[in-house]
Amino acid sequence: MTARPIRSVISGAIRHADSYAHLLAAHNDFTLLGIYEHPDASDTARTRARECANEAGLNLLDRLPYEPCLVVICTEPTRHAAAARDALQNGHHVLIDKPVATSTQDVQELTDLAATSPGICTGVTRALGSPTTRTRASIDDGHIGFIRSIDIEFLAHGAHFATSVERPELVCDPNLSGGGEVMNFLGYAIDTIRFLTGLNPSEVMAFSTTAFSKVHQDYGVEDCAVISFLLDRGVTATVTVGRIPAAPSQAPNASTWRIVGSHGHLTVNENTPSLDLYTTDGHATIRRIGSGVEDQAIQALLSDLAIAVRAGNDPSYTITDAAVTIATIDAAYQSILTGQPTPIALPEIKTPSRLT
Amino acid sequence: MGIAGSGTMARAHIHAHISSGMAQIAAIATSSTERATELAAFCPEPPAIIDIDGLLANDTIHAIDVCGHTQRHADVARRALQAGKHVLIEKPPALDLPAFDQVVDAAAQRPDLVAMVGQTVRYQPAVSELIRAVDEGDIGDARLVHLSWYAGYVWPRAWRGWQLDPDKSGGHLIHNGMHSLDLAIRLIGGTPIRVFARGWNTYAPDLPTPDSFHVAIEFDNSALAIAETSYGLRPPANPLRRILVAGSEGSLLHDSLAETELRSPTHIEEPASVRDAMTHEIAAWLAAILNRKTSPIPLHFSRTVLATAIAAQESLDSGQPIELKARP
Repeated sequence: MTARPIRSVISGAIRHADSYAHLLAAHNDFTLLGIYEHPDASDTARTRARECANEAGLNLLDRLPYEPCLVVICTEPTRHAAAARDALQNGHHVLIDKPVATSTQDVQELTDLAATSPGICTGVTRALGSPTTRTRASIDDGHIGFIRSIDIEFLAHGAHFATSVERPELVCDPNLSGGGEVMNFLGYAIDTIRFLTGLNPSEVMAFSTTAFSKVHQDYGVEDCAVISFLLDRGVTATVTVGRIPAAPSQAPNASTWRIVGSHGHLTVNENTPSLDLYTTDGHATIRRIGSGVEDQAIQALLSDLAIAVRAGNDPSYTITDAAVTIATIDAAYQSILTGQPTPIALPEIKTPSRLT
Repeated sequence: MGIAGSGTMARAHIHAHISSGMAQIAAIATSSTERATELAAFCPEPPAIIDIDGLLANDTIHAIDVCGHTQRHADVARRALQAGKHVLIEKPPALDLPAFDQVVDAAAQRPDLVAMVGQTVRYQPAVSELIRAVDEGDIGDARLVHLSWYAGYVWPRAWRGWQLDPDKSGGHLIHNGMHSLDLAIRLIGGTPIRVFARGWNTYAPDLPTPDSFHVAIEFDNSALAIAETSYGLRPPANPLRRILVAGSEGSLLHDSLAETELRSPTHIEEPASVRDAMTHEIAAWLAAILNRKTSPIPLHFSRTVLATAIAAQESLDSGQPIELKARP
């Protein structure tokens, strides 16, 4: 017997709502009821919700449903935590776009609330995507021994800025984004590091710059950073993160990893598999095969979440995992501010962390 | 040409000199007559085997290639310049800045001589092409460099006792770190102002110096670089190199993964991307001498690289970021 689809609502249509609408509509485990925006939201936000609903052929909801459903939070990042609290307090399950919150205080309040709420609360991650899970399987099989270091490069392609970001302010204006590209993207790398190593970061040293983008410069936020991590048990990691004029990828984001172990090493390119096209005018183009890791990872996350909702269990990526990520991002910003290595104060654990 | 030293690097340099066809090895100065005799056998015309004082006093020798122990590099190079010889100094050129500054000052007194620190990596074909592309403006202003630089743990004559002794090698960030630091600084074209380094051991936990490290560098032109280096990969030689340079108008990427690996248990064929780098390096130095040009790698640039490497080693030892200051 096929299980009844889980009802879902998108709350806010500021960031990535279109993508979630497509993914939820295409997923057998979910049915999408419509787009909701809080009545106290700005005129811009409410207009955008109406437009998104119209474009997707969905209902514009004036309140969240009374019956428990999954609420996917797609507001601007600085409203993520408030929108998630609203949904949790009304008994819903919650999936929050990245970053789940823009301060450690907000994420701690969310984890506290999630611990006493009937609904599941979690955030978006790429850690359940195929590149990460296949790499983890190889590591678990002992192919490279003990991991000693991970080198991650996650760079967004400037050529896709106009299409992959709805409005530049959403990743540049701290009032909306909570920070620059460290806030926007570092979480993906932290999730990957934790999932592959089973270790939490304990110290971070970060250097940031605004080297390329006028918009980032105007808002006083970084477009790039290079970051050194010390993990528990002496394992190290580096992350090169940001938005550059031309990322080395055919996709909106380029993501590669190099993992050195005691008995071998691994390299991973999240943007594979791909197809090379050579044309008579002398040009070469790289095309992705399949939907791309961005969509594939969220599809995997939705499948995992559906199992958790139906079974009443924790998902594979919990709000505690997301809280570790936010605490690490916060420490990275502290390091940028002080110019010093910064210890990472992990959040108080109220619900299990399953990523590590 | 006079060769100072008779160890592994002297052997490689002699082969490169012979391959270049641009110099005659006239003498080898060493404390080990046995090793020097072995090296002399490679030379088309038998060189004299003498001591360093004899090398410096020999008027028929126009240039000296300074190999040998790292702690002697600066002293031999300074004396060679004062004796009127062109100088190639194997990296690292000194263990501290005051010693290297004496070389820089001696070179400043003899602008007619070509003095250069050997940075072989620059002359690897892939790296030469990267530098050319950056210099020709293919990507606009280079502002972000990410180097992932991994070599095999086990290769002939690696990890001899002197390499494990910071008093003799300067530490791993100076001994081997200069490769990637020189490249990062050359590609960015700015001056480092702050560094932070971390090190770790890959599969020999009790090794007294980390076989792997990463260095983050902040530059005075808003650029950043991060260089992750490991001499701890299981396969020997040069299994993995990846270099990303992001500029204001594009990016350059070289990844050795795209290169066919020719390797067997008994034979390692050097990849084309790194092949014959030493010969190219020595040929560039000799060409500058023969054509009366300035040094392909100015000493003031190498001082910046050495200062960065020393700061990175200090950062690795202290766990703190280190700020770099201009030479007083």
